[in-house]
Amino acid sequence: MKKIIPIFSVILLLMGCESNFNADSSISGRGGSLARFAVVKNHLYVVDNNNLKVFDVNNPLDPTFVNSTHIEAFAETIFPFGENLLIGTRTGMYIYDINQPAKPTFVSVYAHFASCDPVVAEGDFAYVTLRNGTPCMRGQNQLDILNISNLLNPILLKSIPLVNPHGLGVNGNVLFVTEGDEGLRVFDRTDPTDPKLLKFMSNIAAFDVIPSDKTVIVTGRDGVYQFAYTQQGDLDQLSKIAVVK
Amino acid sequence: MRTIAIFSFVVSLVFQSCSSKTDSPFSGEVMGYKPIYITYDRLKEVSRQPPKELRQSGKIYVRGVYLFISEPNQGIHIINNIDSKSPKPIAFIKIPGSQDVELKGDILYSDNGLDLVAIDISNPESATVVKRVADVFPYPMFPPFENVKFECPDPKKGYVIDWELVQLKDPRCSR
Repeated sequence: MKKIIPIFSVILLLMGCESNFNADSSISGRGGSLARFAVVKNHLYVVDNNNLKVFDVNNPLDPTFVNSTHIEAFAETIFPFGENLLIGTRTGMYIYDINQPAKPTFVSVYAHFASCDPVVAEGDFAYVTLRNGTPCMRGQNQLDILNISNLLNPILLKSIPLVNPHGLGVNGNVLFVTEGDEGLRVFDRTDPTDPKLLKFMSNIAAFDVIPSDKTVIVTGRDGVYQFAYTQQGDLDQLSKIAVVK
Repeated sequence: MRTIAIFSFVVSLVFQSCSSKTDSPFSGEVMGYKPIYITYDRLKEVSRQPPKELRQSGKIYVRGVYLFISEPNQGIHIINNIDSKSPKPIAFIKIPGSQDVELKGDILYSDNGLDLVAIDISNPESATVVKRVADVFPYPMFPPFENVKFECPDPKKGYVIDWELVQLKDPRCSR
């Protein structure tokens, strides 16, 4: 209910002036799993190469650089998870505690054989995709399911082989995994420890994904797609913003 | 002689395998990446423009009914997505060297080359840089591709806004 009111007020504002940008600032936004930027409360966190940088955005108009923390891996993505950041790197998932927001502290790492790629999490479980498209070329292509109820000790529960994973996203019982030029996979995660493949759509080049309750936004080589989806994994294309070559 | 060549090739593979950038002089002509530079002044030209075609889709960000699509190195498309069957582009925020997008309130944060910029997007007619935090991001010393040869970038020539695949003579860099 809390969320409905601001959305409703945005709709009202939009009715008044369609081309205006009048997003209610009380709504928080979210990026895809490949994001390197994340605002958590009054701080902006950015990963670049081997660094986790913190900016104070208490006054949004006046971001100030606070500090930079060295990460022992090449960091590529950042996923805010409660009082923690889950950082996707080329050699594993790094967990940082941000209870003290301006002072991220290392908690643990789930290390894997040189691969890259992002992580998303919900409840006690994290989903990490591994892709071998790194300079090392030694990695595997797979989806790892981790139990992170104890952040100090992430435990691998299961690995599902994939072809060319890029991004991923969770909404409720549905997990989306993009497979680059190979397509898009939809999993049922009613049992969060054991996702079951519902659908593999191969006629789409998919890089990243942001699922909402009934629709999912998918970016790919040819454009930005939106689909309505069901819990059974059915996808119905609503629109496409085409990439013009 | 051949054994030495193969041995050194193997050694170079081993050394190359996990580094993001290695100087390894290469003699002769080879396909590789050449930096495309823009001046540091032009890099800082951030502006709000009418909606335009999407030429490449990068990262995405959703807030409320708005969808933000990064066009790598170019800027950010703002889409009114109140009807997901018919998303309507509203504006393009030109941010050279941009990859990422985040928001707090009406302030959009992005990387503008070496700098973090905070852009007020509340005014439909303009996109004002309200704050620039200079030199917080690394200069692009290598292309976003792996196992490639490339011409080593020279920060004195400007900022590397893109890379083109061309025939290179004796490229000194690889990753």
